[in-house]
Amino acid sequence: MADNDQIEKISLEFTQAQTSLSELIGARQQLETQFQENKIVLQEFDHLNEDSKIYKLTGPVLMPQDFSEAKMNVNKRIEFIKGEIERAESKIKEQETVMETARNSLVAIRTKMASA
Amino acid sequence: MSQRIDLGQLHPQQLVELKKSTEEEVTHFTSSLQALQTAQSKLKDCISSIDNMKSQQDKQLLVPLTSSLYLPGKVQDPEKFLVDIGTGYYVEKTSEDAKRVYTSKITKLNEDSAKLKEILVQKNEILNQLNMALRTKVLQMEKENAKPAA
Repeated sequence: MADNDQIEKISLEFTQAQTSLSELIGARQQLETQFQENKIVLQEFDHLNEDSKIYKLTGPVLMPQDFSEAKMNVNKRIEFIKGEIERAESKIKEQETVMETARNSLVAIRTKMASA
Repeated sequence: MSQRIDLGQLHPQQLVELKKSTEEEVTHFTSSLQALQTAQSKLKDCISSIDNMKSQQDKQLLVPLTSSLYLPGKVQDPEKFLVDIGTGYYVEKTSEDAKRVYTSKITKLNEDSAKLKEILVQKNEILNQLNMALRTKVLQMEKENAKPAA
């Protein structure tokens, strides 16, 4: 009976690890989308120069913005997103190990029960 | 495919699972392809709007203030456009430059959808093979079940 309790506990842990892992992967994908979008913007900035008129949409209003300022902002954002991606990746790895240990102990208990 | 697995070697349950995940992939890729095509038609709309501006010069148009309130307006300079380049940034461009931006985006999307279509063809092939393997498995099992009864 103790084994059954344990199995229940560990499979709960396992499913929890699975859901949080899929959440993390979703967050990671969203970061990737943002990263790609910012990269496209930066590419577009490469075709422009100081004379180009750039506006930033803030709420419903378009605010005129300096070329160098806008470029700096996008660069900063890309750096930030890169950091976030790294953080997300390490979290994903962590969660994967948690899931793996849960899976292993689950298998161990199952084989123990089968042999008993 | 980097790996070749003999589908006949797999357990029927594994085959079913593999089939399920491949089907999921196919639906995912199909919806991505659709999203790409909608994006493309939107970009094409932008280009035709730019072209329309030229012929609309000196004519009046209605500028929406809200979805139900309009003001009559006139185009001052049909050569200046504000182009959304993403993440809330807009750049003032001439009609030629604006069109260039959109055409390059459309070509990029075309390349992507070509790649996606290729992947979809591959996935569908895999799905077909899986279905075949499953069918042979089922036939095999039926034969084996029929034997002891006979």
